[in-house]
Amino acid sequence: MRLPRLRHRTLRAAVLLLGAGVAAAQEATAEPEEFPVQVHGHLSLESGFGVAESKLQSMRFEGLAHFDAPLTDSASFTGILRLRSDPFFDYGHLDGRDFPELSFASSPVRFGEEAELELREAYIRTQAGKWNLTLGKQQIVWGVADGLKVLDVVNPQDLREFILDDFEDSRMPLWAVNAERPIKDWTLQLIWIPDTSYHVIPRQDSEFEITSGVPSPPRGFELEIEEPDKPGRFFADSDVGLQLSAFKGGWEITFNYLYHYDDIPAFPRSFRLSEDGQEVVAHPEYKRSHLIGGSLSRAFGGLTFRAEYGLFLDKYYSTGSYLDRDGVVRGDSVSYVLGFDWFAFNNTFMSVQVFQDWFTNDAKGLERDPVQTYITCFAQHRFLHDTLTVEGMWLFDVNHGDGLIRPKVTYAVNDELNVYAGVDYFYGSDKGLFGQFDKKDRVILGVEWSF
Amino acid sequence: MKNVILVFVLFLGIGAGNGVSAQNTELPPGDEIIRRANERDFGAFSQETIHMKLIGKDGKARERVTRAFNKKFGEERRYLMVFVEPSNVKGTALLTYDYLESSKDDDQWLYLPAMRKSRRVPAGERGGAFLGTDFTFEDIKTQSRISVEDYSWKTLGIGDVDGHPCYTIEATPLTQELAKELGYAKVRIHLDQELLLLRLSEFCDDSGEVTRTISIRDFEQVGDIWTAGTLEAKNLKTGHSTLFTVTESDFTTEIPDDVFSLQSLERGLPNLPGRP
Repeated sequence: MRLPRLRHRTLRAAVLLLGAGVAAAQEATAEPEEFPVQVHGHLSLESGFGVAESKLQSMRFEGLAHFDAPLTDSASFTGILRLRSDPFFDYGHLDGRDFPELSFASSPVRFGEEAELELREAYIRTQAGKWNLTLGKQQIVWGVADGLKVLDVVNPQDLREFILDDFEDSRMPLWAVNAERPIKDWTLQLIWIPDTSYHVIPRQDSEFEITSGVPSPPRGFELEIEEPDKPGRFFADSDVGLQLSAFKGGWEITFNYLYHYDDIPAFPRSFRLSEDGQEVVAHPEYKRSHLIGGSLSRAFGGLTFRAEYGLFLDKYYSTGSYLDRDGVVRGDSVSYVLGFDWFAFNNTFMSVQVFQDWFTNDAKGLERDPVQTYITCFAQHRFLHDTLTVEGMWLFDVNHGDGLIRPKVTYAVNDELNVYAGVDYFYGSDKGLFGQFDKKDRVILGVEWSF
Repeated sequence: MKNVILVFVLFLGIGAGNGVSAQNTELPPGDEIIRRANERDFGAFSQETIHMKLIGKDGKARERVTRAFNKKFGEERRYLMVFVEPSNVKGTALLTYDYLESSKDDDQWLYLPAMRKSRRVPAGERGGAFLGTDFTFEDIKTQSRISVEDYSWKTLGIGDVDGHPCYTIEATPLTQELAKELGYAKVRIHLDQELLLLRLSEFCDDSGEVTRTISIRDFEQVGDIWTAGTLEAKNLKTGHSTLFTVTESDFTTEIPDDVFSLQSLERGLPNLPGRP
């Protein structure tokens, strides 16, 4: 049988990965007698009312279906499909492709301005000798931090809703080979990601357009941002990584390495004269980076300690200095998170984390502080046998004194139906990561039906 | 922690309406009875399906289905429970490493699929409710083991639980800190006199009032191994109760070691031969 010719290399990779998975699964063992497919998922409706603007900021319908099918005794297929529609949320406008940051095979399908259908995950899990293989579109999560990321950078993220969407929902799954095997007391994980997809950045004039840390053009100049120069070679532009993990003496330890493209492009700029006047033109370019890091955690009586750290070689940040040739500064950065969890009393969970990121190049005009510090606090109490959950998250940007406070109440009416209400409250300087959205405070009401 | 007691049998208990006869002087000490119980055969590995029913005071019930896997690693036991239904908790999993040494805290992780991460359950949460049920994390853990060294023991006499003569043993946590962690001041255990199976338990607060009970019924013998068919925990303060019904117990299909790894938590329900 002849296969149709596939133009897009990542789509080809996707088909190859799933094909390899099926072949490996068929090799693994004989076929079982039946192939039951299990389907579960949810339908949800969430509205966000913008307090400052006194208008509906979002009204999102979401349908998610999760398919599980055993293929053989030791292999299974998982597929997750998601439909989202929001006629109120302002995604901003982009000429050309809807998702220039994503590979063709990983892009959601847009229906007009409001709806998008996405194959969230599609992978086969199987075994080959001592290797556990996950082949296909998937999420690979590293690290032990909550709400902040050091090692959790294997998959890019959809930032169109800033960081308000759950990471599970905003993480962009990638077509990848994920192989794990035990080696004595350790587990080795090798990953290969031919899918060249990166963060989905909020569009200009969209609801959560990022303004903090972005250089503004000099007076009298217009800013023009070109389409990103995206890597496109199948093997040469793949990301590869490994994780070694073990549980030793009560410590969970990992060592991680990732050779990848930074999910945020560098923005080298040039000046141009056009018919409309003078322009600053930014040419987004994805740059290679090495991540060398690790994580550890341990329980001490009633307290759990967590830490993760990473050295990022070759990071690029923008500078506002027009003396700089292309407005981009290269350096290395060191990031770490220290966290403590404890159960203060029955059914009450509390967590505190400190995150620091140090950029080694202190070039003039850098649009970020050399050392950035964030603190997070989380508290959750479960009432009525877990049917009522009250929680609150506070994220604090120490450098700028701004923050985000997110209280939320969730009530499980029954096993299928959850209702919830919450607030996303931004405050502080507009130069801060959170303060830039000071006018975007919102009240959330939602209902979710699981099936 | 030391000394094995059977799967789903160490939910310590005392029978409702049981009369305790005053034969203490002729009865063996509590810790010796527990040690003898711990010597019973629990099997090198097992897997089973547990149907959970969480019943409110008003009679409204919520249901869950889990698959549970148990394996002995030398003197250590490892236990994995994966939620299969309903949809909103599917994939949630609890992994326990239960150690022989009493000086060493057991390790327990809870995997939450919404976070794609496993969270360590510290020792301080031992007495906390396990995912909305009336069982605690400690109850789930001690289904396979109990630390004789954590309690002082006293045999109160012989009682009767559902028509079975049982030793009635009182266990008191050795320290205030431990009592706080476990969430009770004392527990009275009713252990079948002949089979050394735990049939019923009664957890008491500081004032001696019974606040929670766990009863274990419908035992079946599979080969040389006794296994419980029903476990019921009742919170006497709130009127809430939780019923575990155990089915599809399998003591013959070997379970690979890596099923009990942290990585396997993220992989969800293991693909094993004979999976229902």
